[in-house]
Amino acid sequence: MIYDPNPVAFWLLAAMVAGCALAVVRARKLFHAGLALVGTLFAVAGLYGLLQAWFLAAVQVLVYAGAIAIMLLFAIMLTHNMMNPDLKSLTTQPWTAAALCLMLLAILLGGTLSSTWQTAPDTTLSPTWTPKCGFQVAEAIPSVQALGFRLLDPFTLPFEMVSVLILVSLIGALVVARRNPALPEAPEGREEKAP
Amino acid sequence: MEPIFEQFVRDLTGGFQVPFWAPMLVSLGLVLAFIALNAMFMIWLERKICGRIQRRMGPMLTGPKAWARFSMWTGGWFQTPCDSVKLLLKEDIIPAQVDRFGFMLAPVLVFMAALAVYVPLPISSTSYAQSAPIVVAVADLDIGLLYVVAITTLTILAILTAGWASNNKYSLLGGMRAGVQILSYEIPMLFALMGPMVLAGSLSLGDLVLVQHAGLFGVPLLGWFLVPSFLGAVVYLICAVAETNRPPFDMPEAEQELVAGFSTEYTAMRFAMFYLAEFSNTFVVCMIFTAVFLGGWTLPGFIPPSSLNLGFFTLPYFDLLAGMAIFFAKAYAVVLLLMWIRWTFPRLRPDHLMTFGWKFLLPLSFVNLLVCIVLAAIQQIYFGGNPG
Amino acid sequence: MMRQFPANPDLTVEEFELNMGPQHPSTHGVLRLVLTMDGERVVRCKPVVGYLHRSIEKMAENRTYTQVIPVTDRLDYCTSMTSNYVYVMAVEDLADITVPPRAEYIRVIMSELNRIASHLLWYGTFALEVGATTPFIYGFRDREKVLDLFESTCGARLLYNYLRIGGVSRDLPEDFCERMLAFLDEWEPLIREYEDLLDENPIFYNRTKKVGFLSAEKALAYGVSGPNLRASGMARDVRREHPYAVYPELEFDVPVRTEGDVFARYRIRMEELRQSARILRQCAEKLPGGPYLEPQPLRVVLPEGETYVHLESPRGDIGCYLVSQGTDKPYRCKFRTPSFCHIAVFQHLVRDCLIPDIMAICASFDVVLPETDR
Repeated sequence: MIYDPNPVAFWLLAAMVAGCALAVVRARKLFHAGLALVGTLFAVAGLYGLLQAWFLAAVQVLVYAGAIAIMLLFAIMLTHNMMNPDLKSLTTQPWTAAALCLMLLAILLGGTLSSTWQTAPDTTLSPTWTPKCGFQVAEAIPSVQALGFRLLDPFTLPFEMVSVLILVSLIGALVVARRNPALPEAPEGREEKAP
Repeated sequence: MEPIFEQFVRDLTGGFQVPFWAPMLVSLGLVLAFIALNAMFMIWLERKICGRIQRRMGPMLTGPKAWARFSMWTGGWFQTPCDSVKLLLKEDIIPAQVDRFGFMLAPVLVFMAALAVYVPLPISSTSYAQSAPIVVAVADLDIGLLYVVAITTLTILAILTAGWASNNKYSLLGGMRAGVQILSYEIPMLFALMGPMVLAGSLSLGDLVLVQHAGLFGVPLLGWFLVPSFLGAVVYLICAVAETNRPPFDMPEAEQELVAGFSTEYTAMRFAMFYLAEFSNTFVVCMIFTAVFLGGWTLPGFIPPSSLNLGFFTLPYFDLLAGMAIFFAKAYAVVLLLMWIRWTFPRLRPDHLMTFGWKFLLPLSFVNLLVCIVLAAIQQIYFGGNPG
Repeated sequence: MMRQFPANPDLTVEEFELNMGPQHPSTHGVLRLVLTMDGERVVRCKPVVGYLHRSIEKMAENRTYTQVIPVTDRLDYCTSMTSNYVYVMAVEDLADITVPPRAEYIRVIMSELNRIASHLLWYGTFALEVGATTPFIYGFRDREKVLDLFESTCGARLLYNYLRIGGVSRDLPEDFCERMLAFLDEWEPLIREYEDLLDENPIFYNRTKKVGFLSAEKALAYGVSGPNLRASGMARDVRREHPYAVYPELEFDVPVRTEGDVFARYRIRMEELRQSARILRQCAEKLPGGPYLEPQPLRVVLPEGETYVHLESPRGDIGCYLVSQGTDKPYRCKFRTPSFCHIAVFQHLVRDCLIPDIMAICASFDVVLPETDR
């Protein structure tokens, strides 16, 4: 099924992605960079929505913007001063960096525009879908169900491997976050002189 | 919502075709109006219930005196509009050392989240006897449940930003506590909602309600997901209270310890945004609970006719109106339950909160999911249930 | 203070200081707590008192003995009768003034009613600290009835200035005993309601059990007294050990618990409410007639000497040390107040606690700052 997204919507979202990405790099306070990153992720979710991949859009917001970016913000808040001083730029050779970036952009654009993208076959299961209440519901294309079936049928092994990977990372996080027994404990309260 | 709106306009004006952007704007206007009016009513109700539980009368002095003299429950209804006007007129103070961008962004974000979460919530539908019902929601998304949970992440973001930008240790503590609390309780909430999702075979909230009307194992009375997914309903209710930072989970805003937590430095309209968003979110979780567990706008065995003949006058759109009435009655019943809980229990300590969420609610929601999977399987095998 | 990880010296953990008060919605009065925190846990707590110092003891040196009585009102304004009583008792002890029996009974009635009022206030604020807002209103609603009784007797609700050297300033109203008994009949079953709200609640239980443990040795070392000491296992009550007024003739129990945590202190005060009601009923029965005041000259002159008396206030052991040099003004009047010792021991109980625990422990100690700072 060919879907023609609204060009205004596309350009708005693309501008938001690019603008927020630029803000991430150029922001003076680290926390602002974190917020701009969240903006980028939201805009990308919007782009997924434009492509009618609703589930992916929701999961992008839920996982990326909602968990990963928030963890990033926590880390930013917990380290160092509360109000960050200005971050100085660490680049020593700006022109070489710019040239390399432009070359990378040229390669990516060339590759993206000239290749033929292979898409999965049509993901409709049936033209109309019958929920349990017994009567027809008009024209629903349940992408979530399609995804679910695909995960169980051709892509079982990657699905199981991903769950094992998540389990491994969970255990790793627990191990890392454990209270370090080698850390010296706080000494017993010394009596302080009166001010 | 669009077909209904277009039908309505056509009935009213005799065939006027609305432009494509009109339903969106009308929905936005309706949702904003609803948030404002509902917040006013709910705040008044909260204060009255609080008063009743504490054996006093709540607000009585505003509004016509005759109304107050008549009964406790009719007095003081003008209190919230007065309070809103007062809040609007207060001086908006931005402390000198705050991060201005973050400080001003946080209330905007929190209100965005409060507004955006209304999109997939269905409050009624056209008659579901013969043809496919059209659900009254801003947009009955296919991924309604997932969308709702995803929008709560915006709230976390707003609270974290508010806490950090205020340049105040207390606010920072409050913001981080709130963020961690909401994050931790999102997971059991999601799993609790998965039970009904499995039973209905769809993430769309409108579908969930219609499946509940059809009943479980062919029995309409057992259809409400409260019955097969009872554990899930309890877990969801507890998580909902934690998500909206209501007592007994209001550690981030605990007056006794942190003054006002992450919103300490906010005054006037910015503070009002947080307050409004909290009440709006409370009502939204009650709406979700009603839609997912209490059968939404349906009553078992009762299908309202599409227009009611009252003798001298036929009331059109009766199915929509009856559905809305039933839905709001149920939602407010849940709101009353939440208020009752608020004024009875003491506050949970943060580590107790975390232990409770991770070690108790999460396993409970897994058990619930298992039970629902088994029931859904039985439904499919023996009673011809799930699609696909 | 920074601590380093030995394996990686670049990683440091810093503690930060949090200042609680003196303006804070939850500290009971103007108390400043300087907390050193490691994340959410408290490493050190230093209470800073003195924000409410009004030099009451110095003021007492410039006033005649009768003029000091209103000043003692402000010593512990939640139990103004008891503060009056301890001072007046010291003066009477030094001057060898006997108080008529009716006045003794009236004083005991007032002390016990004040105990009830103070414990109800404590109950309300304690529940509020833990997060339950409803018991606050319940406690204050019933306290209003006690304050009505006080108002009908001496005209004031909080600062009574009722006791005089040699008795009380005016007699009880005609229907005082009926009204008091009516209040007790109506209110005593409500104690059960208060307990029902909190006792079996798992949230409350988890916040108060095993929190803020005070051992008997530490309590004795710091001079803790009253319900806080009795919660740690020591059965000490001034009304039993050094009885004063008509307490030897009255029957009452002294509740004791051994756990020493916040929950024990809460339970003891609830039990004390019942015991106070019991005492009041006996007093109403046994109240004799007769004069309510042994009249004293306007200018009371005490012989030279010194004395120390103490009695059981709702907070603990309040004492008055009076030195006279034969004039009509006290030479030195020193008050030993229980809250002073309680704050001193409090800072050692909050190590390794979270901030909500600090609130719960502070509230369970029933500390009032006017008494501490004088």
